[in-house]
Amino acid sequence: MTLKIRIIPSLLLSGPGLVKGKSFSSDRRVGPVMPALRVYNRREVDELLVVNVLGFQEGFATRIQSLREIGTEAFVPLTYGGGIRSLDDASLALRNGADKIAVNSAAYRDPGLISKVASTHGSQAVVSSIDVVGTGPESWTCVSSSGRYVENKDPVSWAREVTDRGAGEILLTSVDRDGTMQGFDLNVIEAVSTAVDIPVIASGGAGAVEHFLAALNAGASALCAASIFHFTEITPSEVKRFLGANGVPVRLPHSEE
Amino acid sequence: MIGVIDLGCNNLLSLIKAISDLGGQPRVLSESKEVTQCEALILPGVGNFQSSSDFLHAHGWVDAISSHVSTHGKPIFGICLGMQLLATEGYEGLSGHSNQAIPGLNLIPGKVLHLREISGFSRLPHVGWNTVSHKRDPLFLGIPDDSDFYFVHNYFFEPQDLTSSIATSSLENSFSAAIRNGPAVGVQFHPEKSSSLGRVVLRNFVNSI
Repeated sequence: MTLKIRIIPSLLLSGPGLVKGKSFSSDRRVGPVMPALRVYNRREVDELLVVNVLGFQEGFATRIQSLREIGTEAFVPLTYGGGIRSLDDASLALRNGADKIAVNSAAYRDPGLISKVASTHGSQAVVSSIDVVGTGPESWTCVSSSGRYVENKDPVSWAREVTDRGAGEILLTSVDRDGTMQGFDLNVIEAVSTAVDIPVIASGGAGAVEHFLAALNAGASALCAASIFHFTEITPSEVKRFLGANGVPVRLPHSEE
Repeated sequence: MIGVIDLGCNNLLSLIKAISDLGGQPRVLSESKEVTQCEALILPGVGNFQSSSDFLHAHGWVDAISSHVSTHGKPIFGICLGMQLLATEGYEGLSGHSNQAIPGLNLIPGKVLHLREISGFSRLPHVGWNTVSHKRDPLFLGIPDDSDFYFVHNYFFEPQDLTSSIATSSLENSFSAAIRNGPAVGVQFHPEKSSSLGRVVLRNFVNSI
């Protein structure tokens, strides 16, 4: 009887299409959202992360309808992020299809936002999304607004602060690794996961099944990826079969047993 | 008609669609007096025990549900926080902090406590897919023992009578994954988010009505 690790594909929304950017700064269009969502539904993935990468500019209100469409179709747990700036935004998202919401940029301006959402909806509904640039403790800093703004905060201290404020999970993304498919940033995963007692979802850099094993060994409870699933033949289930063969507790969908 | 009680803060979309697809006729109830029109009730829930308890007490739901279940013997299905609300009472935070008992619906004697009470070393909240071991209650018909379901919660239900626990999961120690007291039944996991086997649980509930 064990809690399984999670492999979480992410879908990045930008305008009416689906985009996967490399290092947050360029667009590499993949295709429309709904077909991609349906594939993940059929594959019975552990969870899905949907992020509106322009949310920091747009806010959330304009995206309610698209979230509803996604939320009606998704039979897997869904986390939504992008432009969540207030308790009202969070409540609307949770009403309209999201099981959990991710807060990133807004929390730096208003750290109390995390506490407000957690006390109203429970900490299990709040994911604190932390984007990090830099390659080691001397150079790490948090960034916001899809990588456009440097926060000059150390990710470990910020991770502790959001945890104290009631975040249920941390989504930790290495901006430098994102889209490169060269492997996760294991150092930042280890530093953050040892500093907090909430689950850490690591993101950024997955390109091979071995990368996932290394990230779990560094302390992540769940792993998020996009490029590897869009641009290679590797599926979430294949990742989990590899992990399972290496002794990691994984869930293989009923349809694939 | 299956009445879905709306506590105001959660995502009902997947649940409504799943029940419709299964041939149940779900209707989101806006007033407690609509309960008398329902053959069965579903109480989904995400959020916190205190505000949901306040909501149920303030808008006539407690009496309406009690009459539906205890007087008329009609079923109610609680999901996640909804299962926890079936309890006698809940406590927010950890013991040792000053906290009062918050009243639940008292349809299944027991209390709701923080998972930290039984899991000293685990990361919390308990999020993800975990193994559920069941006692072959009709709710789990067709579901292999030790299948995985999706959990996302910080609190658990401790039943007064162990026989009301019809399924368990584990995070360092066992806790109830599903409970039943006659027509009142609840699951700690999210069947509407637990893919094909979750839909089987929902189907079993719909078929039992």
